[in-house]
Amino acid sequence: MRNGPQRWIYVLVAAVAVFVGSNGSNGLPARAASIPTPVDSAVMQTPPPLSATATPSPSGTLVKFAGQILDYRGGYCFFTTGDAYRIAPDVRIVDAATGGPTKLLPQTRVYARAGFDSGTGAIVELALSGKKLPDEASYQSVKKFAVAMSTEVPNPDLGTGEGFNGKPVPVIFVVEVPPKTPFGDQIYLATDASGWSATAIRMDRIDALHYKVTRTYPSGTRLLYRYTRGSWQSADVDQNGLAMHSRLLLVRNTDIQSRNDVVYSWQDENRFSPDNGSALPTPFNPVPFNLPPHR
Amino acid sequence: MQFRFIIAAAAAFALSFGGTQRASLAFDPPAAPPSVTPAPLEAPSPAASPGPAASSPFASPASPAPTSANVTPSAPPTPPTGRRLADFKVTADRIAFYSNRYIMEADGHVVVALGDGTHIAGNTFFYDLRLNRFVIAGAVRVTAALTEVKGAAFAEYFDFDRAYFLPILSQPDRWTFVAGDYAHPRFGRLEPGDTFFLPDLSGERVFLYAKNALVDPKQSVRFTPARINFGLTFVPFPTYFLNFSANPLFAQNALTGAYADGPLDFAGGEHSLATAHVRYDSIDHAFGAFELHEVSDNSYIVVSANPITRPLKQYNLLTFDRITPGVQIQSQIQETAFQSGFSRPLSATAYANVQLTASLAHSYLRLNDNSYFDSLLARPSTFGYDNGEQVYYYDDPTHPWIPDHPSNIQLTWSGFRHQINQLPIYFQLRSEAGVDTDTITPLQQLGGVNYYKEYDKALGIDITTKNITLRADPSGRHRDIYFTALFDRQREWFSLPHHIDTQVATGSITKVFDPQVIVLASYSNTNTGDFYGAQQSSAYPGSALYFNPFTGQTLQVSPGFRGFGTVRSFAQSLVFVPSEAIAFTTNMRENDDFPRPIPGTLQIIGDGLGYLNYGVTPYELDLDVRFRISRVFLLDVSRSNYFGFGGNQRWSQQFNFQVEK
Repeated sequence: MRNGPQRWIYVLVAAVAVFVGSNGSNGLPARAASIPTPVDSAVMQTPPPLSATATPSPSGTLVKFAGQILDYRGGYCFFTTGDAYRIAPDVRIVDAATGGPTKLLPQTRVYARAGFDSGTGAIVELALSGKKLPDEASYQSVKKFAVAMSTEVPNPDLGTGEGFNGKPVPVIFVVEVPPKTPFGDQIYLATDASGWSATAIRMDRIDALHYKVTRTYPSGTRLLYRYTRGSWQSADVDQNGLAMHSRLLLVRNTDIQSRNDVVYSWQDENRFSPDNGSALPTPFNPVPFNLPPHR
Repeated sequence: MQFRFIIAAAAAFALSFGGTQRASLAFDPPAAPPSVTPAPLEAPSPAASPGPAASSPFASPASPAPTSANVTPSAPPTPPTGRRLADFKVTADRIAFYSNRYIMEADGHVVVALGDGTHIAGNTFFYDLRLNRFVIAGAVRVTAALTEVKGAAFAEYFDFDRAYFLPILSQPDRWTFVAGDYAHPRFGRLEPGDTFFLPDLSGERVFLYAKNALVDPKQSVRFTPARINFGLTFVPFPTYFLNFSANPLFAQNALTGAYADGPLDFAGGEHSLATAHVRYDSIDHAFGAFELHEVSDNSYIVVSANPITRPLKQYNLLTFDRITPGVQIQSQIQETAFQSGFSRPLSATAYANVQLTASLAHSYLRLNDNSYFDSLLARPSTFGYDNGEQVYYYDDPTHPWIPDHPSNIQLTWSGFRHQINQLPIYFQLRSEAGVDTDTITPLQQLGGVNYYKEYDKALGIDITTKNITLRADPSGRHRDIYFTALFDRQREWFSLPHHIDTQVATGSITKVFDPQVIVLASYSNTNTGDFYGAQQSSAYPGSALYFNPFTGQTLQVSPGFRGFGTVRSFAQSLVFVPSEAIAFTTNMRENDDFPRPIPGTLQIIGDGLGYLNYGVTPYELDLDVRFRISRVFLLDVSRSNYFGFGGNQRWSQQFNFQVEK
């Protein structure tokens, strides 16, 4: 159990937190709730470790890490990992390239190479840059210096199982088109990522029936796509003659991924007018049995 | 010559607004990063995240920001509520929108007002429109119910009803809010690893700047006031409406083609979008157009007027509705009117198509109706004489009164494709019944009798093959030779006793020289015969002249034509794709047809002038080179050559500068 002062700290923390009631069930956004009293939640927390270096003792050994600053205030430097680190009172702020004075301020978006005193866990040197800095030591080696009032607890949302690491994955799209597709027509991939432009990504023919294109996406990408012949009037339709639902691609953590699709028919395909070469001036084409184009 | 194209491309690029056009011929919509699974993803804990993100947790994500996950999170503890879909407002000293990444960035005195009344203030803000999550960082203040808590950063994952906060009290902490329950933060809970990553937008093109943005999550953003990037300068607009819905029905286009199109979405919402267009083509030059979309998950209505600043206007109405999972109806109604402004038209024509499709087991039925209204207005009083025949016209003879109202209606049945045993051969059956009508001008004359109505019915079958390997590469490198064939046979019977047989046979051979180089040759033969039996010579007297009642042209037809035609087409294609950045394609086609094709007159075809030929040009050569200039820009140069036909068609050229992702 917490001791008295700590307990009161957490009661105070909870009392000043922002609290808004959740929505009602009518689908409308709920208004902010009145001041909540999340005392129970707070006091049930395990005592917060200040950090692994609660009793710092300067060692003089520097551990350097590069990252991007999320905020810099209150004696702490926050990085985009979400971790907060103590700043030593006599921290040196320098230019990352020259090691000399810098006009940059330690603030949001600025890249920084932080030098940690391995004994105190505090940042004693902060080298700033407007550009991303190369990685140095591993995250694990500084994670222990992070400061947080609450004990780190697992996130049940994250669970277990396969995850996505965002690595670039080449995705090969191969589509089989209907045999009656006009020989010279182009085939395109339309995606939600390209605003559903009917000519977003042009595919290359690989034989009489197949077209292919390769695009690279980070794993975890969820892409909706359709095939077209350059317009939505000539988009793919289902084998049952109905409009297609968008096809879904989820990019996994593989080295390469492929999609093999089949287009059974195009929306503008008239199965009773074989492509015999536009309008021959004959009675059977275009009049009277295929009505003339609109004037 | 090249400079002209470059200038045209630059002008079109400026017109494109760079951001949201979807009807442009010259340009595609802005490339956007694909939507990445919007999960609270990878935790920063090295133990929990063995992927690359964990190895450099301080690094900003690469471009585009990889979003990674250990798992898809468990279902939110509360059912989805309106909160996550509620509009929210962002105000700042400067808001920038990056159309290629679909990311909104705000700096200076940023205030985010959520739909539930919560206000979050900070220095810097990023919102990924597709992932539907934002992060605000730097001197953050979260305020609700008159209570304020200061912190370093706040991130909201709308889709998962999770918010992550780094408060600064006596010391920093990590809080997680679940389902908008700010009263009960989860203390110390591990966040997804990229929760507070700030996207690297260096090198990205800003599409617009604004000071206010009203966001309808996953649907739209309204920026006010907006300064839009036209390439050379930023042009101020009172407002700009951005629709980024994932619903593909918003992409339905009711506008005809144009060389360049600059759309400006100015109004809309979750189900609607109104767009003003500035367009250019060789006929009307610069002109304005308007398009309106009304869209749901299974239906749409699209209305357009194009051009609205020229006398000859075209109005389009497209509708679609998936009535049931197995039935859909769609229609297209088009009116072409010659009118000054929006006054009563001098003349007007219309076309309507209605299509009803119903899926069956292994087949489907389709009812298709076409109606043409050659003159919508009443008969004018003015008339003249053409070859002694009295003809009426509106105002002047270029606007003739044509009372015809031809129509046809067809009911078709189409079967699925079926494989024959285990062979690489498939067949597909079809049948049709229909009627064609024109009560004014006879559809056909035979033996001095006019026929104003014709019934017909048809049966057809096509037989196709998969790729059949003729010669396998012994090295196993798949440098094979494939053969593909198509055979199609159809017979159509008419109430006027005759029938038309159509037979198409196509064979194609593909040789793969290398995965990057393929050569394809295809030969196609189409025979069409119109069989009148004893009346063959009456229906087809073999005259060298043929009068087309629908164009008014008298044409020189191949002598000896008795109703039996043949189209022979030999096509070759070479495709060379050495990398994702470069692709080269050439197509050659030679046609040897009977009756011989006839060069047509120069007419307006689509958005430009072209030759309305009768038949296929005998020779054609197409060249196309695509080169990727950068991650989002693609240069596509294509050229078509027509040989030995009409003496006036030699080549046409296209220069396409495309934004792609």
